[in-house]
Amino acid sequence: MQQTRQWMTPHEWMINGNKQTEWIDNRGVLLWLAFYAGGLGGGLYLVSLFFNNLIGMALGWFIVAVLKGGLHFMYLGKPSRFWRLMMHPQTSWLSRGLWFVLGFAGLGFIQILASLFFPEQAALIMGLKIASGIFALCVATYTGFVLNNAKGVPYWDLPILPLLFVACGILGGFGLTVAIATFTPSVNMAAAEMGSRIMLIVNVFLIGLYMFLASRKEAIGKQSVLYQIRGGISPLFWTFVVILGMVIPAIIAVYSLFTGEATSVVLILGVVCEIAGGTMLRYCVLKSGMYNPLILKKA
Amino acid sequence: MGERKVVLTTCKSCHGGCGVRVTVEDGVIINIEGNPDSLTKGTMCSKGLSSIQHVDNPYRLKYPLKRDGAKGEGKWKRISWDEALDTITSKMKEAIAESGPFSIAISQGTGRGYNRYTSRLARSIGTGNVISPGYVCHSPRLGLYGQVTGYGRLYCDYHGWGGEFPKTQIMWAKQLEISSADSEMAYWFMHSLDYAKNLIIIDPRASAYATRATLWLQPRPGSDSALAMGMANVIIQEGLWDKEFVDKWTYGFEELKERVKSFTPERVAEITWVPKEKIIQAARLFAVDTPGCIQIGSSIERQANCGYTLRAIICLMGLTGNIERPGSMISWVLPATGLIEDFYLQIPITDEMKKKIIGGDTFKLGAARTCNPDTMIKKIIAGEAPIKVWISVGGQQIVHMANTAEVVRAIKKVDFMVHCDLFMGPMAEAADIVLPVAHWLEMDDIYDMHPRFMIEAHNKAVEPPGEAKSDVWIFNEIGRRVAPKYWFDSVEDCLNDELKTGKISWQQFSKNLVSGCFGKDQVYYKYKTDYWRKGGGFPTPTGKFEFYSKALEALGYDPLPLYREPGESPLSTPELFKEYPLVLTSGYRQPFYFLSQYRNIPWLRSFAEYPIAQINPETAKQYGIQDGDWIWLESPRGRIRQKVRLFPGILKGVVMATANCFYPEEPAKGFHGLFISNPNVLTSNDHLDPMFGSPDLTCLLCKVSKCSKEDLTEEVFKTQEFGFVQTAGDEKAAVKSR
Amino acid sequence: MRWGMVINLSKCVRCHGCVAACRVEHFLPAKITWPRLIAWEQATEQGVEVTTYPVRCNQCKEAPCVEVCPSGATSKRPDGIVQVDQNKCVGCRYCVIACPYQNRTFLSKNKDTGYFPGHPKTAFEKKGQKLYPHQVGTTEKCNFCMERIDAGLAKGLKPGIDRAATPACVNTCQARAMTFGDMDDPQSAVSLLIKGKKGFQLHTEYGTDPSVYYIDPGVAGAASNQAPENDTTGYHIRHLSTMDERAKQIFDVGKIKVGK
Ligand SMILES: Nc1nc2c(c(=O)[nH]1)N[C@H]1C(S)=C(S)[C@@H](COP(=O)(O)OP(=O)(O)OC[C@H]3O[C@@H](n4cnc5c(=O)[nH]c(N)nc54)[C@H](O)[C@@H]3O)O[C@H]1N2
Ligand SMILES: Nc1nc2c(c(=O)[nH]1)N[C@H]1C(S)=C(S)[C@@H](COP(=O)(O)OP(=O)(O)OC[C@H]3O[C@@H](n4cnc5c(=O)[nH]c(N)nc54)[C@H](O)[C@@H]3O)O[C@H]1N2
Ligand code: SF4
Ligand code: SF4
Ligand code: SF4
Ligand code: SF4
Ligand code: SF4
Ligand SMILES: [Mo]
Repeated sequence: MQQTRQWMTPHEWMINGNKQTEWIDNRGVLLWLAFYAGGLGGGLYLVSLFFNNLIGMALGWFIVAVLKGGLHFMYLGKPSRFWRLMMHPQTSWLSRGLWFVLGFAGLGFIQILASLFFPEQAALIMGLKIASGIFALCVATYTGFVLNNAKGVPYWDLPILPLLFVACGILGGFGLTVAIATFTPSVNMAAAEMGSRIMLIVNVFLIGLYMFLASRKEAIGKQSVLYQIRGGISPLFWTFVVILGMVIPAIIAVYSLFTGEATSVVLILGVVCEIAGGTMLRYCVLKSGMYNPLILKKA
Repeated sequence: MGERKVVLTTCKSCHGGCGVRVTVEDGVIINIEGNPDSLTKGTMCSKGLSSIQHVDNPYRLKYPLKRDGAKGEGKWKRISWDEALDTITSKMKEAIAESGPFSIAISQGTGRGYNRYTSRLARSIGTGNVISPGYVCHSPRLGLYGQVTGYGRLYCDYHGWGGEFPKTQIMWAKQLEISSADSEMAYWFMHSLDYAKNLIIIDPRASAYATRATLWLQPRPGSDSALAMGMANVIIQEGLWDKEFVDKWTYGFEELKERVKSFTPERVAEITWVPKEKIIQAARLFAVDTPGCIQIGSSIERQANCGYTLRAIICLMGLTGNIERPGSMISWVLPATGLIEDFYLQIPITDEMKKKIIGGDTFKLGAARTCNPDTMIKKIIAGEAPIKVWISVGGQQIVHMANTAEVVRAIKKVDFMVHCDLFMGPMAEAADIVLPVAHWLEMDDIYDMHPRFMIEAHNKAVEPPGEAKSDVWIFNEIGRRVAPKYWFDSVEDCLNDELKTGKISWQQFSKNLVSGCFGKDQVYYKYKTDYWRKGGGFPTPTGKFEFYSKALEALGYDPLPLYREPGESPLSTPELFKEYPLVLTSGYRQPFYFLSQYRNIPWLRSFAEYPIAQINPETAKQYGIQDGDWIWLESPRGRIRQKVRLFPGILKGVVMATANCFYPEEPAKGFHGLFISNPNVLTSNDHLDPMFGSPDLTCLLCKVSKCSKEDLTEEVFKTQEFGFVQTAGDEKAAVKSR
Repeated sequence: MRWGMVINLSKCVRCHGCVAACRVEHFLPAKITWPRLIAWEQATEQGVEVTTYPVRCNQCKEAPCVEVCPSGATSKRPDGIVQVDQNKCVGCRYCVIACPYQNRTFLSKNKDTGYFPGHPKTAFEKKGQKLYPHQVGTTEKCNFCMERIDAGLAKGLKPGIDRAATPACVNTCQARAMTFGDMDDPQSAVSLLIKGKKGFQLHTEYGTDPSVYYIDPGVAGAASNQAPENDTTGYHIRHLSTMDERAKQIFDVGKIKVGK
């Protein structure tokens, strides 16, 4: 009998808050990365629309259609049945999400092709851009609604969550746009940087607000927040989300604001930090999602 | 779909008794559930249902094995049944010729429906040295019911057959709802609660119903005799006793009254740690709301004052007239097939056999029919070698007896040992020959354990693995070779013989009855009829229910109940108490394990992987212990580790450890992790009950501490080094065993 | 018709029989368990409380798992049972996340190790692969033994009353802690218990309206300790029916040759 070691959680587990694991542990990392990729790709596409930056649009499309789609596909227990994900958009946010991704992937693809090969069709392209832009927004937002729907996880049950996810995606989008701007003059670097700065502030504000609201949401919401800032994953939270994702980009932003110019290496570094921070923010949110215990101990 | 058949049979994954319905398709069990037409109404517990993982379990023993290395080294060689049986029987004959039949011991574990075979084999070859855990389990109860009422088998009437259910029920050191099929079946008890008025639980630890019971008393382990005498005192002082019954049908009331007089509620509260109001209330409820019954648990029998404690509790039954009345304590009318024990009682035990029973001269009640195992261990260690050949069936003496280190040392000294089991375990590792045994789903046998009014059949549902054989087959084969006069040509002949009083054959019985009552209706108030005695009365020397026992007096025991402290307790050894400041009790039954069994059954292991010690959160706080920690439990004999559960339902200052545990997955060399968590590493075999020789397994002193990081590295449980019993005569190391 | 269950917290003794029964009934893979027991103990001013909550899918009337399932694999039957169609499930695990009662399990490869890892699957498991297949990569949960209910109804049996139409866990419970039946029928045992014994559901704030209710009326304290004349669970009836007579019928005693 070598293998009978603990393989089932002891029976008393549901009287304490316990973390969801299915969407973060083991193969769950695929889902986490997919969800972040959705936000980032959608955000980048939106920002690129603003700057009319075709490279960014193409990159955003790639991130959503290939990375996000691929990762999510790989995560499924039965990938060959992936098309079934589309069956219930009436009620399921995951189903809606797949429609958004497909819609974006299709329209975005046509839009990019049209922009490349039929640049004269301005009206058509504009229409396509608006349509795919809407889908991109949905792609960046829906994962927030997906989590919102988990009634038993108070940490996720906050209306601000989708907003935070979009903001985070757009911040990443600005970041990537800055990165692109260091290679090509076609993008207005100063504007990209300014957008990045604004989004950074918005993000810091939203994260703070989110955690404040969460900590007031039932005992378990508070436990989730504590787990994130003081518990097992706090090193990740402080290192990646706060220092890499906020402090360093902020320093670079302030620095470039006052000196007027930062070297592209520094800028790229900032962008990498921002993305790392955004990725880890998703990680932390997923990882600290705790179910309300089935039976609540009176204090 | 393949060929399907339904087999009706009887479970004995615990002491057994639930009716079972098995569906078999192409020789494979595809479903197992309770048999609704049985007396357990189609209900089953997790152990019985998980039997499926016994059948087809890759770790099952399949062939007879012969040791091929040192004892406990885990090296084995397959041999044939012929070789195994020839070797065993020639060793037996040798021992008989050289040292007499008494040098052969036949041992068994707790009752598993083979009791009659072990005893018959012993008697048929002329030895009284049967080794059984009975002296810490059930036998003291039966023995003293016998002394007091003349009839040894009193049970709670949960059935309503007499038109009434018990109005007040006491679970005294008993959690029948979990230990089902111990005297009674849980199903009957729980069903009868629907009609009860009061449920009183006497347990230092909350059993399942404790916090919803009418009354819950939490005595300090080992203090129950004082509690019972205190309750008797209240009943007498308040004039609540059953005047009619006591006047007419009992003997020695005045002496009892005198004896319990000093046990005032105040004094008893001090001794037992139970608030005096609760003592008074319990006494009143039991005396006033009759009929009532007391289910006595074996936690009391695992104590060195068990005899007198039981005496005291039985007196309560008499005082309140709760004897033979519908809904009280009753002796059952036997099924038409008679008493299953007749199968060995037919062969009388000779004076010579009695004389040679180890411990028989000291423990006159316990060792009348079986030997005192602890005395045997001491004798073997002392080099007296009373036992040359030891035939062991389905019991883990190494695990279940007090003071593990000594038991291991002794067992290693036995010349020749055979063990029959389904799996490799500590006893098997210490044996010279191991015989593979069939599971109850794989054999035909008769079942009649505790509930005396019913008789059941084990019907084979599937074939046993490899060459595994049923216990009855093994006994019959050994018996045929050493004492042919008493054994049979075939298993079927043997079973027919067991049923002959009922005038039915095994074939008919197994097909038609399977499970249930078979025979005369129950009779209540037997003492008012000619049932036991012409003109009424009990089958005792005085013809009465004996508060005062002349028979005990004649044997040199106190004729009345007596309060004695355990060998080690806050009151009896105050110095030791300073070093070991907590009271330790061990052995609360877990629903999904049966003693040391089933840690190799994945479904059951999944419910609690490691043995758990329960401590009150406030006590734990004093020692910096948190829920889920691994802790050391230490006594003067050694130390073990268990996982701790902060359990508000346990008395402060008391620790409850899971008993009977080894780790099947650990290497053979340490006897499968025998020393890691087994509380008997801590228990003492020096202080024994004067009547039955029972050691203090459920009341001793201990200290606790949190395991350090190093103690806890995963390696600890994996290395071969930990928990090893040093061989090569290193006695000091063996005693320490750390 | 809406199937429901009432669980008596005062009666449950933590025996785990229901868990084992479900594993047998549905050939559950090694590390899957549909019903569970939640141990609950606490010391309060009023005293200590030791309780066990047997938990299984609540078959919610407003089931979040049905709502979130993107594939349509999870659906609610007209009789209220929420079921998962293993042939449709994509294994997205959204329902696992969304069930606020944590009653769903995703069957991953490492949960389907076989009962004895490192050994071939047992004969029972192999039979199970044919008789009650489980698909790795999909999500499962308690289905109120709908197969038993359907088969029983087809034979004209009544779930909750006739054993063959009643969930396996309910049948096996030695404490008789669980009662099953139609909650839409005001006269059913479940409806009466819910009404008469103050039945409650877990976490009503989610608005899920579970079909599993709990009651906690305490033990003993019953009005009468008289054996009812017509005790339907009374095995004693059988005993009193003069066993000698019955034995004669069964065994035709007298014509039998016994033993050697
Ligand atoms: N599931 C299962 N059933 C079993 C067994 C098993 O291992 N598992 N074992 C079988 C066997 S062999 C036996 S002997 C029976 C035993 O079954 P029971 O007689 O019910 O014995 P335990 O469960 O060991 O202990 C009963 C209660 O006694 C309490 N207790 C401990 N020490 C004391 C004390 O000093 N005084 C008082 N008043 N109470 C005390 C414990 O807290 C426990 O709740 O169960 C049988 N049934
Ligand atoms: N500290 C402490 N010690 C105790 C106790 C306690 O509470 N605390 N309890 C005491 C009590 S009450 C008892 S009864 C003893 C129990 O002790 P034992 O009866 O020795 O119980 P187990 O250790 O489970 O050993 C039973 C063995 O029998 C095997 N077996 C099971 N069924 C069969 C079968 O049908 N045939 C054969 N041949 N083998 C079978 C099993 O595989 C297992 O190896 O322990 C006693 N020791
Ligand atoms: S209580 Fe005992 S006899 Fe009944 S099913 Fe459980 S193990 Fe088998
Ligand atoms: S079978 Fe009954 S008593 Fe046992 S755990 Fe389940 S609900 Fe509780
Ligand atoms: S308990 Fe969970 S799985 Fe069951 S119906 Fe409700 S939401 Fe769905
Ligand atoms: S895992 Fe299966 S049942 Fe659950 S939501 Fe996804 S598709 Fe539906
Ligand atoms: S109702 Fe059926 S499926 Fe649900 S837990 Fe009970 S046995 Fe399992
Ligand atoms: Mo026992």
